[in-house]
Amino acid sequence: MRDLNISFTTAKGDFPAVRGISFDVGRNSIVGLVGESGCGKSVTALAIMRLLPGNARLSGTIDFSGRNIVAMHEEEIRKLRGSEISMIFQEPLTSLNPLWKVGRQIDENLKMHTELKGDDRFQSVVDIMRDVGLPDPERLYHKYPHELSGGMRQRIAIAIAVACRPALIIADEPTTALDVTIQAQILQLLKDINREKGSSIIFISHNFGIIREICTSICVMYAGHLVEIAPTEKLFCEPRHPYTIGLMKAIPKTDSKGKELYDIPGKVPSITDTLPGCPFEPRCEYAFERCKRELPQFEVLGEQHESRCFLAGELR
Amino acid sequence: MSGIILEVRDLVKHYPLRRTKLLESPGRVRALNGVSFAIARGESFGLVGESGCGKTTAGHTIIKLLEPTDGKIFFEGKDITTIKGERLKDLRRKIQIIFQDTAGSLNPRKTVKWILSEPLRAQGVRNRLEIERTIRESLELVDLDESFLDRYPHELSGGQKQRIGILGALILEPEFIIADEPVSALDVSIQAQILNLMKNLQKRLSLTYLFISHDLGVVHFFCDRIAVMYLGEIVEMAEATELYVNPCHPYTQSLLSAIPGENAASQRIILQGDAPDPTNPPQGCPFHPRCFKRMEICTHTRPRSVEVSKGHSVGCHLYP
Amino acid sequence: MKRKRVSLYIGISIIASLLAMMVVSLFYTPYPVTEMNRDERFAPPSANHPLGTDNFGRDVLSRIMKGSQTAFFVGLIAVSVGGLFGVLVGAIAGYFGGMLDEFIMRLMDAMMAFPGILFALMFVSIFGVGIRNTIIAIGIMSIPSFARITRSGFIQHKEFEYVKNARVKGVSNFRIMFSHILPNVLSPIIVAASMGFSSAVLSEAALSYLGLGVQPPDPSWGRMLNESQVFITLSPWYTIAPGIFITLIVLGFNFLGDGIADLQDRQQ
Repeated sequence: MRDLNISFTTAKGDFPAVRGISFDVGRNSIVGLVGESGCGKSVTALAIMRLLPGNARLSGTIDFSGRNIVAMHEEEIRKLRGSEISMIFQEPLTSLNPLWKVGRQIDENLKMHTELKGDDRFQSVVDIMRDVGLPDPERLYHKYPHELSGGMRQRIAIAIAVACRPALIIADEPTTALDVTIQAQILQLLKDINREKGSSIIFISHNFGIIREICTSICVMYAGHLVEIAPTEKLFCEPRHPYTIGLMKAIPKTDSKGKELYDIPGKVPSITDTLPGCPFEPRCEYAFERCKRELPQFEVLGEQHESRCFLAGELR
Repeated sequence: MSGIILEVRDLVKHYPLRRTKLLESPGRVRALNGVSFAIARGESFGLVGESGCGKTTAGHTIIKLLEPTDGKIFFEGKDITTIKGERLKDLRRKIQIIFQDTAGSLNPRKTVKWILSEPLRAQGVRNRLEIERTIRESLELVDLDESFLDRYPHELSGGQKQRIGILGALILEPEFIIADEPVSALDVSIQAQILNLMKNLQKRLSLTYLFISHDLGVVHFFCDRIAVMYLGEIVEMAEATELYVNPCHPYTQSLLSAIPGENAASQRIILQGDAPDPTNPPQGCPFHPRCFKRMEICTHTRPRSVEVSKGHSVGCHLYP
Repeated sequence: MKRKRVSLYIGISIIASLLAMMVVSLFYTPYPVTEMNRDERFAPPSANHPLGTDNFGRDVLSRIMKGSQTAFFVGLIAVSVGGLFGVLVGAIAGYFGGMLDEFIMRLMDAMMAFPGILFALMFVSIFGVGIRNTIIAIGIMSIPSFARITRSGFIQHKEFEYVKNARVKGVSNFRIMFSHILPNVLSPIIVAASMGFSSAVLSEAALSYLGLGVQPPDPSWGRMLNESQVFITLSPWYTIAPGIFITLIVLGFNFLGDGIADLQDRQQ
């Protein structure tokens, strides 16, 4: 992705939701997109699938195996969806069709993108269901989403997503609605899929713990901007942007007990506030005059580690 | 004045399901199956567990939104299990609740001022000026200024709405507050603000908290003692740090291990199977179908709660 | 986006015009409504009589204007009566649930199963004809739809946390129902009221047409229809005029109701 800009045109004017995002997703990697509400992570994911509403304007390039997604026609992108790039959403109850049997929903994907027919296709569906850890798939095929638990529904959603062995899976908060013990199962499943089937994953979350658990590299977003990118452990050991640092301090950890949590004063700006300088400046404890006027460029701090802050090199 | 402020003994809550078959009696959701604990004045007591464990039901039953099926609740030594009428109204001045910040947590058609006045009006305060004065003076408790009074909920951010929720609970000057997932819907940075605020208020106003959450990290930070619930029962209860460092019950161990990002992959315990069904709990120990240390006795006998060290109790056959 | 506002504007224009006509008629009509003029019987529309005259030489326009008073009056009172009881009953059913809810809703089902006109006929044949009983009958007929809409709104909102919050703060059930929840459920009720108005007017017209509703000398478009049908060949404008106005007011309230509903959808 290079210089992706997304804005929404409404009766009240144009509002930028995502500004100048650039990052790479390598083969077999799991890239995390982390940030709080309103940072634009979900919008970015939807842009890759070209699933944004009609009033969205995109600019920049999203290069997928040599083709630019931003410039594609609807028929071209439709061929990619579900087969080469697929998506898993947060709430399986609404992302699955309540009136279709779950097996049929996986089958639909195969029907659209492969030449398999009849019994072969049924067997494929059963195999996929078994791969994602669903017990007794032949019987489960005929169940409806509301008859399954949250964890199983999410496995069905994952099965639909991996049915055609996509090169890229976008997972938008896939475990946020699940209990923590089920979440652990699903995260393990996604790791297995990444390792065994070779699918890269873009994993979106607001939870740093989950991101640390599963991602190989992380992009931190704030108010539509990308503020820091780094390989996972690097980000946790040496965060180099005031927002990243602040967030990590704000999360309760084992040794936080008895102390006051660091809280970043103020609140996330709304989509209607657009500042000329750094978006984090109003809440930043290191901010100085230049931050108000000028948007910092990315400062490269080491291998694949960049931070969008004038003080990136000096922060500890 | 110290001592036990709230005690719950063998609390049971079963809901009948809707009758779906004409000739079969409807099933029941066994939300609470005999829960007992005591909270000391000034303490922060955590109730933690996943969906269906009954923690929210426990909170709602104590605050009298629900009637218990069985068991007793004692507040300041007095039995409040079947309290009604005037005595219930007085109780409202002592025990209050903060809900999760969701779309319906504040009345969308009313201003903040109206929302905050209602508890006072319900207690019989009629004088408008007095109500207004009380509200204005208490705004600073939650770091908000008077400009918020005329706003509507949709004009507020998640953190601001939660502050209003907290203020609404505090305005009757209670001693005991149940916090039901107070920060679960908030962004991390706002979560920190609210947790700090709640802690400060506890010191300033001498509050006791019952903190209900599914987030073990937050509960560990906030609470002095924690009870872990599974399928309507308390499976382990201990002081917060002790629970973290020395979890005895297999469920507690898997819960801790499942917290993402904090454990090496080699130590991770991943439970098999699905979340349990409160309408059809297993025989014997409720956790045994998913337990990685299951024994034969677990399938037919309910374990008793046993104290393994001071203040640390577990309900598991591994500790007879 | 602007397309959706059309219904609202049309509805408002029609109703506003008719309302204006009604208000004017309270103080002035071109001719006294009962003034008969044998020489001008069955006169076609002219400068003097824009809508012509009837079989007694009475000015049709003046009678239409006066008739609008009945239409609005019956509509308003009937919808208010039906709305008040319907909302009350629906609120209780929705908020308290259980056996009370079952009982009330079965009652509503029974009422809805009865064809409205049949019920109205039964009512007036037992209690007598006239404007008062017409209003009561129509009011009773409209109770079930208000009850259903209110009930579903209450069932939904009862589970929201602001309601649980109110209960926990000690607010009385009555106050929760009518100060806390009702303002949130008002939107679909208002739409129902608008639709109810048009349906009430239609029912009144039907009853009066059958001679069982509003009695002379009170004016009524429905009764005018009845009186005029015999003379349709002699003076078609006498028949057409009340028909057009009944259609207009019904359309007007339907557009208004649609428009308000669209407005609410857009707000969502």
